[in-house]
Amino acid sequence: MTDAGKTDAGHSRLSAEDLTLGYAAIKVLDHVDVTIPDGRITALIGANGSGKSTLLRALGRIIQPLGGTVTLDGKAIASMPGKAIAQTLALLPQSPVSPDGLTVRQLCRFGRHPHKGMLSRTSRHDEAIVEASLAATGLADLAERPLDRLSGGQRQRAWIAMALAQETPILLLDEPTTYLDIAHQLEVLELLKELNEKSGRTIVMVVHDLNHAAQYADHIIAVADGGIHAAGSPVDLLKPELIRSVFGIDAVVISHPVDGTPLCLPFVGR
Amino acid sequence: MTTRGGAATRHETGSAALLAFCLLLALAATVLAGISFGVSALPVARALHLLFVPDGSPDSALVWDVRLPRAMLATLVGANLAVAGVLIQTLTRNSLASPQTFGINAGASLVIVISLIAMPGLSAGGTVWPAFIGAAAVGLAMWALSVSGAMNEMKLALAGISIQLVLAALVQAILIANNAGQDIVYWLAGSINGAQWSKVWIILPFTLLGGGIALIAGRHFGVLALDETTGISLGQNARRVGGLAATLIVVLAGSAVAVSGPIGFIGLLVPHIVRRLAGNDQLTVIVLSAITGPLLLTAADLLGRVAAFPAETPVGIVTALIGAPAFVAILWRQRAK
Amino acid sequence: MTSAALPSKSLRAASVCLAIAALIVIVAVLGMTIGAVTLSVGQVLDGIAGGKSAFIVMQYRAPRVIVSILAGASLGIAGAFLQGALRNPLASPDVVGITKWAGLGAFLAGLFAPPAWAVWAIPAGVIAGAVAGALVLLAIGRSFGGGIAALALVGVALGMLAQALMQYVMVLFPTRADQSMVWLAGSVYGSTMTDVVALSLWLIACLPFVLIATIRLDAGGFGDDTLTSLGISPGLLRGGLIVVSVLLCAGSVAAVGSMGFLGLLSPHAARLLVGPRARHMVPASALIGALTLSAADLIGRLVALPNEIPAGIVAAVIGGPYLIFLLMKEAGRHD
Repeated sequence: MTDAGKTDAGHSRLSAEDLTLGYAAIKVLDHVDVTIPDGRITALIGANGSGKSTLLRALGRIIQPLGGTVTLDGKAIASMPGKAIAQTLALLPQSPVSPDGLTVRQLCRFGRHPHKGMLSRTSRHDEAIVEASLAATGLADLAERPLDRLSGGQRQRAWIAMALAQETPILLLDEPTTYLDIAHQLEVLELLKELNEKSGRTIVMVVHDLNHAAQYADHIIAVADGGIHAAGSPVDLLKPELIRSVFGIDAVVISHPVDGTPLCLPFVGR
Repeated sequence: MTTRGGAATRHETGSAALLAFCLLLALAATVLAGISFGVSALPVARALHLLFVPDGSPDSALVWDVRLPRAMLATLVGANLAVAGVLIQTLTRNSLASPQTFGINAGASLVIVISLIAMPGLSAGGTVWPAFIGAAAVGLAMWALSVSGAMNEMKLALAGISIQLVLAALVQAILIANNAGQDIVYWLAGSINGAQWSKVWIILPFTLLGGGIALIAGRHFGVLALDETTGISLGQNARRVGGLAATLIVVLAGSAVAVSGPIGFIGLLVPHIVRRLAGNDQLTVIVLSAITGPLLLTAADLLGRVAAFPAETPVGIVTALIGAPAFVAILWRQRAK
Repeated sequence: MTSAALPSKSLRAASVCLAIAALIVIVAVLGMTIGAVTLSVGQVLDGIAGGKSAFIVMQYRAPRVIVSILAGASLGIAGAFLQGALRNPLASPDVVGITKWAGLGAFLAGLFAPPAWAVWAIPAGVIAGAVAGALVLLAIGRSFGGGIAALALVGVALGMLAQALMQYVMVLFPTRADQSMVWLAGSVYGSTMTDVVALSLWLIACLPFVLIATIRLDAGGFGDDTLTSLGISPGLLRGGLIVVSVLLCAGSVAAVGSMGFLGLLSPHAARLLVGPRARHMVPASALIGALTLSAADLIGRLVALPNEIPAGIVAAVIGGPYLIFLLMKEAGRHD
């Protein structure tokens, strides 16, 4: 196991110890330890069914572990009130659902929900945050458009805007690029990179494309065989042997001609 | 930047308020028409005058003892059903849900009929409790089906309707086995004939309580409409908020059925109409539905009194005659999805 | 599936059908012997031959038993066809409103036809109503772009409309209301030998269509694209199945009133017992429908003496828990 990438094992607000995840008889992950480095982009990679989404959802307290603890700011997440967690952590699911006809701005406003009391109304401060989130995601001009009339990339950005309005230092995204075409995938990934650089947000995302992980993540966690196979920087982690053991395929790893990041090229040996 | 967001919000609230005002005006006009119209028709001016200055004349008694309670009942029942419809469509994320299509009205009716037969001395006010039991039982069953995730929108609606048919058949069985009279048959069709102030006082507290809570918790119900994971991410306790919504649905629909029988299509159609006019902000939809429901029900009742004059058509029949084609129209609009 | 397995499935289906048929015979015998006046089997046979109990047996009990068997069978088949056409296990002639339109037609006919014509007018009204309802449904279905997901629900809405129309007419003409309520609920009460003959003739006339439809039913399970690729017109297949279903419904509604539940549950029970292949399922559904209706009529006659509970309601009461079981199974399937 290599060092946790660029961070010198520095700060980590979100982590898990001895975590076991599964359903009834089937264990998806068995006694794993995970540390999410602060202020970095972390990518969870692994084959289908390896448990990367399950791990993300456990970190985001969407599902309860069978054993072990998820820790946020030193406290067990299971013992924290939902609202308090919601002010620190936001999770964008794989297939989010919104009511028909909801506009971008109306969706974004939902992000302020954890910050409002039982009875409070939307304040000027809330509106300002919503406006800023829309601007940060480049949706200021589309604010009054209904979500179902946006492109896939724009819609994903709208959900990210909502997560932004939640003003959480940590953002978890479950396969944010899976259903997008390549242009929109890059659109979303660039946005996430910008958010991380400008505001220092910790971002954890599940991605399928190894090269997206290589280009955009500071830290990669590879999930396989019911555990964490390896964790480290893209350069340290993305090597043919690891790709073989995690995905079961052969690949050549070269240096990307444009920016030097690792570029994985799978092949079928003949 | 703030001004843009603020402007957008002001624009939204402004147009919603304007719409609410227009709907209230329409409601007032319809109520006035209902009070003027009848076997002994009153000129509108006189009716208006009597509303403010009752003078002990037979006309005044007509307005205050017969027509006004009827108008009030239509208003309260309409509001209950409409808000219940909004909540059930939000809670189940199913735009075809309603107290009627999910069998909740039928469940309430069944337990009411059983109670009336088992306890002949049951007062009118006492029928709300059997109504709540019946509504809650069916509501629970449909809730279980809904969260199992096995059924899509339409299948769930079909399931609810199948349940509704069974329960309706059961009610008929009981009525026939007990030689029930014509008035129960009328009640089954959904009617506010013969409304008295006593019925108004029965439903009023539930309307105020249920409606009030719905308004306060409106924003929280809005989060229910998002998917489960997003709701958790936003820190909402879906079980608690959902449970509250379900309780409100049972209370609002149950009390409406207790005083006026199962009236259909209001809970189904009003949310669609309001969302079409005013968008999808939950609180706005609840408020506007609480006005539009009464408007439609009062208008339907008026129509029922006009159509077969001097015979009165139960309002539930009118809502079905207009509502069924409207339901088809909704299905048609959704067909592309 | 080996070729050895196929005959055994047919064998199993045949034995199940035989068992159900035996049950029907038992219920029929009970139906003939039990009632306000209890007869022995000997007396029943004597009555059939024209002896002392001839009136009770031939004018009252035999017609009831036979009509309930025939009507139950046709509803069972109609339900199977409808569920196949709409590819929806929750569809039934009642749920999609066809029986309600039939009821409306009958009601209007009974109201407006001169009494002398009543015997012909009411069945004519039933057929006209059912066909009208089906035509409107199919027409709307076509303008929906042919997709069937919403079709069942459109049928529901149309059924609600028909029911409301009927209630409206009852408001206008209140003197007929009581009678109508019973008839609407579906009742075998008052069946005569004429009914038996009429229904039998109608069913015999429908038989060729039923056979063709049964052969085609299995294809209905495929999606529209697959059907087109196989050279079968989905619209024609669907329309054909619905039309036969409507004809069968019309016959039984004319005889026994609006009784939908059998069409909902018989096909399911049949599928559970003999599997989904049409050639096994349709006859099984017919037999189960016949058994259910005749049993329901028997129970309805006995359970609330001296009142009679219409068979349709008894069927619904029995069907209710089964429906819930069905829904739970559907729900459990995806968990």
